[in-house]
Amino acid sequence: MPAETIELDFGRGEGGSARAESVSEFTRRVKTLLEGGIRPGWVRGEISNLRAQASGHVYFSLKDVGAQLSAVLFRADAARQTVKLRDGAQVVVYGEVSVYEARGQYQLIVRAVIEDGVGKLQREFEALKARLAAEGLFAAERKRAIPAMPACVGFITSPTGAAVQDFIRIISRRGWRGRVVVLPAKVQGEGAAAEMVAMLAQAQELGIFDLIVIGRGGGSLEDLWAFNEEALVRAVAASAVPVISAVGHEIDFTLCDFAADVRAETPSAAAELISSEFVACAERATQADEAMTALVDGALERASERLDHARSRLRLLSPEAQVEQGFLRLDDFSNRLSAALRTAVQARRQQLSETSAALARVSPEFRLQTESHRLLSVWKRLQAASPVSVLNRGFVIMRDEAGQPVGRRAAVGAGQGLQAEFADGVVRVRAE
Amino acid sequence: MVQLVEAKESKLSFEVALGKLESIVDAMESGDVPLAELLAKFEEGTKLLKACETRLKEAELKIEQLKKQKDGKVAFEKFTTTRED
Repeated sequence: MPAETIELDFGRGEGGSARAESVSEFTRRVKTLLEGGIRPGWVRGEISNLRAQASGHVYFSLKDVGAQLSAVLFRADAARQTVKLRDGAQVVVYGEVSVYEARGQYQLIVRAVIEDGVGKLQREFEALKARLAAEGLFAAERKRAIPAMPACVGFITSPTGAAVQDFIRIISRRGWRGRVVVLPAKVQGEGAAAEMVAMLAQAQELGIFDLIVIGRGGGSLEDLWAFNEEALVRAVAASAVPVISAVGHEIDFTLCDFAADVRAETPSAAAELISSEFVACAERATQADEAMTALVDGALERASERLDHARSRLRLLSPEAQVEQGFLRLDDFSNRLSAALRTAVQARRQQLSETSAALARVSPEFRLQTESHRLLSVWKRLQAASPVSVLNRGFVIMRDEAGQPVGRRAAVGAGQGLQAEFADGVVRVRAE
Repeated sequence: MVQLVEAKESKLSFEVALGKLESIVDAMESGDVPLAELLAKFEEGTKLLKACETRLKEAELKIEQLKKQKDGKVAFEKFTTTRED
């Protein structure tokens, strides 16, 4: 804001006073405002910086992680308190705010001090937890697996609480099947732990349960306290039936949670757990079914194929098949035989005809014919050259008396008788 | 609806039956099982499966509440929603 716009007006303070107040006046107004505006009430915190004065008044601070508050317990009030104050104590105090004007401080005038339940319970919780843990009550090896498929589940809880409603709603919605028995018991307040212990004992006595759930919905530490009581924690640890502890919200841990076989974060989570196992088992059963069926189908198919194969082989080996084979072979041989015969006959016939042709070529008849032809031709040639033909042409053959042909004149003596042969006869002549 | 306390069934538990069924399937899957043996296992497996399915499918969701009688005995009544908080 620019400087020139600042309005310096001491006459109009915030309180509406017409002038600047003195410290005393201002402080008185603060005192009036605080003491009149804040009613006496309970404040929870941890005691620190405790100082008991000789006067008998006790001064301390109440603090928590974020703030601290000065407190005073006047002698008269201090004398009435049963709680021994000490540094670090968690307390709830009743008191009123007061402003100590001399120092400009406000403080709590404490009238009553009680121990803070949470702090006390928390200590008891830690102490009992340590003791039971040392006994081995929470040991991992004590834990049993919860049955995947409990037929009958007992739920120790308040029948009117939210937990049982959530549990049943989830288990129904997720298709879980089986028997759930609500085992009614007080889950908070006086006697709650004893009731739950008795119910747990009764549940075991009945002997019908495969699984017991014990729990309740969320609440304060005090509300959940029954689940930290030793008797119940021991009973849960000793249960013959597996136990799921399902108490409060996710952030709440009770000793029952440590003692149980399984801790479910909430009753709803217990229902989820139980029904998930159911769904998983259903899935496993389905898978086993499918695998088994597939295996048998496959094996049957292979066996059937082998059988078919064997059957066809067997059929080939059967007597009928043998006889058929025999027929076939017989026919085959018969065919081959007749074919062979035909071939052989043909071959012989061929051979015969060739041989007879050859024979024919060399037969006497043929030779005779040939020779006859030759003879005829020679005869014709002879005929052509024969003296007879010369005679026919008019020539005469002269022969001596002995019949020898006389070819020359010189051979003929005087008076010699000759024979003149004509074509048509012989004439005896005498040379002159 | 009042029911007397039933004796707990002494039948094979579901987990055991399912476990057996799965080991039978494993055995069937392990290589060369003779057909006769395979069929015998199948038959056994089928019985186990039937037992499992009975538990899975035929069981009904029953929500009951334990009530104590005056004579100290207990009975189971149908649980009815009586939410008060």
